[in-house]
Amino acid sequence: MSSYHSLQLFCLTVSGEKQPRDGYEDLSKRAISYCKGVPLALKVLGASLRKKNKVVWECELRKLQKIPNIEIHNVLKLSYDCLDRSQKDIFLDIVCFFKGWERDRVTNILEACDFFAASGIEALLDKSLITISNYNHIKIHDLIQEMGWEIVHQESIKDLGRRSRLWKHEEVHDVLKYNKVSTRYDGIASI
Amino acid sequence: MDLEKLAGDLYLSCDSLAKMTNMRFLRIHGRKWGCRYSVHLPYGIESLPYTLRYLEWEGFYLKSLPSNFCAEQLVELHMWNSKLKNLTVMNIISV
Repeated sequence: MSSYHSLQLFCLTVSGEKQPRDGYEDLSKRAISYCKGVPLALKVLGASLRKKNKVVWECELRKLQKIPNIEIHNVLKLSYDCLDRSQKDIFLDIVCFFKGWERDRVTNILEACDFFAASGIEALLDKSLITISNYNHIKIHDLIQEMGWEIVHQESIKDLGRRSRLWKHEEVHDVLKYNKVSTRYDGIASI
Repeated sequence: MDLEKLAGDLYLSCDSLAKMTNMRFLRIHGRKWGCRYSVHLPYGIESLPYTLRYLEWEGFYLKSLPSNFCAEQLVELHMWNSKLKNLTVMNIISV
């Protein structure tokens, strides 16, 4: 959805009006920028902010930078839950490491991991979890990527050493510096 | 890990990577022509996980990879700006 239509849908959900309420213009823009044009996200987030004051809006929008909206996450995760074990690994590897990489190259690396990547990537395409650009590069929507990141976070909220994948520079740094090494890691990198 | 974001040199113990026995993908990257800080291995590197399929390590300053490293499973090896001298690895894309 375009920003214009996103704003309309979001505002209709919040207040029944097509425009933001007075004083909520910037907050509304921030909210729709999180939703990246996804109608489901606009409606869920809009409903959660209905009748809330500016302090709550501000707090929720700040929170979204660190923690995804749980309702949006749960709906998007339905597609992930339908994947088999190998497809889930492929999806999480793409989310954490291979966004924007050339499809054949990713297929080669993941095939070498015994993940049945050629058909696995097709399965992700069928479920619209990823798309392929005209230049054969793997694309993934920001909200879907956030859903995947959250799945890895949920493996262990507090203990980085128990997660399967690390991609944030600060987290990789801490694990290596403080030797919080785990046999669990599948991959380490940073975006 | 992005070398450009390092706020200081990072020192690793010789076995820190060997302990990650399931690791398939390791990427330590940054600017192509040198960063202020780097990842150091003052005691060398004991071994690398044999599960590794992708290894990218920019500025790797040791002259060789661990002699016991089994590179048969490696799909890609990228060692930009490295000091590697002795390589007997197949399927090398860029060193």
